[in-house]
Amino acid sequence: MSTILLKTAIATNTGHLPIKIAKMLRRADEYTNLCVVAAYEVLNEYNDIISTYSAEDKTIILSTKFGPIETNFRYLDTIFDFGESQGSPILFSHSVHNTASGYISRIFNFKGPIYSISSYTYPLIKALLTAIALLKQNLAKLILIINAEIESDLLNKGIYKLINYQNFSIPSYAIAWLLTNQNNSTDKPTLELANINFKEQTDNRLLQTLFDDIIIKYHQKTKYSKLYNLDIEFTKDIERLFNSKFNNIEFEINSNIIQITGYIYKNN
Amino acid sequence: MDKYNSIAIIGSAILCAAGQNSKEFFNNSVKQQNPKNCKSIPEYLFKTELNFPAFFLGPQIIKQKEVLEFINPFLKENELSNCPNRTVELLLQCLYDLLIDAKIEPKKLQQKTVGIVIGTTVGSTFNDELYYRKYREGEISSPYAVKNYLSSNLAQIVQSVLKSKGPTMVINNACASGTDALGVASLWLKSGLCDIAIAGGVDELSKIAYIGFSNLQLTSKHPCKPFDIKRCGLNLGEGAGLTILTPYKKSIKSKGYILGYSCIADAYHPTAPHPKGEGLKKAIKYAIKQADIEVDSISMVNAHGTGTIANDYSEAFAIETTLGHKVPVVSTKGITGHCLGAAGAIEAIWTIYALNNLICPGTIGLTQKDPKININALIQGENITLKGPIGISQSLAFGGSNSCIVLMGKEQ
Amino acid sequence: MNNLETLKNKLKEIIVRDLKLIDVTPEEIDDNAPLFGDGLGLDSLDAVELVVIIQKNFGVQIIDMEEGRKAFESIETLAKFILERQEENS
Repeated sequence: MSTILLKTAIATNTGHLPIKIAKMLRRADEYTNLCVVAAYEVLNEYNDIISTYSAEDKTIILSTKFGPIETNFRYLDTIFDFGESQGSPILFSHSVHNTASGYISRIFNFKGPIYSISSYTYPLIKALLTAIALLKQNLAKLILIINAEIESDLLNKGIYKLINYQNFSIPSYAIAWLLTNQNNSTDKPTLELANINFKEQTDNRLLQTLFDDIIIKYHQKTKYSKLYNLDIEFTKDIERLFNSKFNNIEFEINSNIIQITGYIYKNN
Repeated sequence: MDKYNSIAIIGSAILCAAGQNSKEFFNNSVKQQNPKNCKSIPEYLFKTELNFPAFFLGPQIIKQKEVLEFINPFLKENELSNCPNRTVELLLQCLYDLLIDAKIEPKKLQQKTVGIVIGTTVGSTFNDELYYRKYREGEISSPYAVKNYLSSNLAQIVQSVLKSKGPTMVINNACASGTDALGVASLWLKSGLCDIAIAGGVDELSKIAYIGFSNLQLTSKHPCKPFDIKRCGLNLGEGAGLTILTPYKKSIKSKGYILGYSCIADAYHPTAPHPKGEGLKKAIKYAIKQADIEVDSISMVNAHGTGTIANDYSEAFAIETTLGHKVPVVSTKGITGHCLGAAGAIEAIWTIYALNNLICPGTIGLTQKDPKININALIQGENITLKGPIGISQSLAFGGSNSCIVLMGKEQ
Repeated sequence: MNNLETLKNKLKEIIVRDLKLIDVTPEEIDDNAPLFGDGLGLDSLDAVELVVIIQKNFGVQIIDMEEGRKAFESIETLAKFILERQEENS
């Protein structure tokens, strides 16, 4: 059973969504909005194929480092400003990590497992490894992976002080990857993921591995010379493959962290 | 049922208000006649204007010298003077107990491929109230709180302490996190991502969760009464439950087995469960299918049973429709409270203990069943003998996840 | 405009603003239309938020959702409930 990557998308602002979906997001926070925008971009492209899957065969894995951290602070604001009995229940319920994935399940009718996972290091890759395991064991037929962060001034300022790196910031973004193990006939380009090798980091110190992920070493650039976000860079590499002129050819992405080999199919 | 396809539980450990280990927790479930540990919040936890009672442990989680020796190298290497928060303390105390229970020396896991999946809700949030207050006022001094926050990913901490390799992940599926952690670890083992896994859930009783649940009007001013006609809400709790899992091997002496697992979303509402338990019905069906067992071999259900009006009704409907109204159903939240991310793990471990002893205690807090609930929910003091070693533990989460795990006691 | 009318208008504005209703203006809300279910389409999460909104803006406490259910039937019932409570409190 092969693992097919149908499409990826990167959303950096809460863009235009159809009115039907926008209505369902009335109470949603920015974190959720970004996730839904990215999800919509990949799912809308394959609407015809996705409608043939049963709802229980569709799974979501939402991965993140910090989750909806700013929504947590907005909730704290209501407690500090108005008192404990006047904290906003809407904000509290949106400050938990799995709220965004709940929205996606309701909006796009995904009733398979919903996993919201967090890791300070390589959350997208961990989601990918789990997704592939689910697909290979036929426990899902379609998996939407979302990887999202929300920019947090408190976190940026704190991390800057910890590592003394001027202007440190993690931007707001949401990435979506759509994977399946079904052979669908489509004339859109797809990538078959044949082999994935997650290169372990053996340094066990917590902060060290975190900063390695955020700052450096995806492309082996010099330390601190440029801010890389591994998940975005990795997705961009994949998108380059989709947009390339290559067809029916093997590919390999090899970085410090991960090695993927597979095939590009253009005219399926 | 193909035991060669199952996952073996070779060690387990529990920390909760009802006991510091499975045996103590279980015995309290059998003996106790009322929820005596449901109390007002003590100051060592936090100060609050609200007065909903909860379940909690003492001020000092880590007391023994041996445990401090166990975690000191980890603290030193990461330049931490203390555990970053109480959730980490619960995690590390429970991890120590787990290794003792499994009779595995920590050094044995160094450099080994150990999958680590830990469920939590509070443990992934930035909870330093004082730091945030100062930040709001424009004062940012030393970033100690940010450092603590960045040092608090529970799965990475376990890896750092054990110096193991392998995939690590924290699951934030609200109330189903603990059950899901066991399920995802089983998935990783079956797919060869690791040969051994540590899976479970941990959550401290946090001020923010406490206030949040009361803002949502889900908490009760009294000890909770799962499935009771007078039920009016849940009590929060705190704790930790951890297991060590491996694929089934004939030679390994295990405590019990995971036969099947499933997780299905309601896709219904951000906080309320589907009124007819649609997602849970399917989760139960698929978990049973994966376990490859007959419905009537299930001898008990450890329900989510929080004691809220909505949850208990939906859950009972789902149980009745899939398993019938005879299978014994129990909720342990009457003596542990709702431990959020830890709940599913604590309850799975308790269920294994029940299956190994073929006894199911009644539900503390349940004295008069709601007549609209048509399941065999055992009332307080109604301790029964189980007909067989297979049972179910299940969790329903905020956001609409329903997770169900099928468990079997050890080979006799 | 009397007390009740002013209060009803204020309630409509607050509800549209704080519950982020995007496809209705305060003027379009009928005094007697059901707030929950078919009318305005609010749900149980909006209901608990409304309890906090009422307490914050009008100093009126709703003890539990049983009490809330009756008060929340419509803008009309809610406004009357608030005025009654405010009188009791003074």
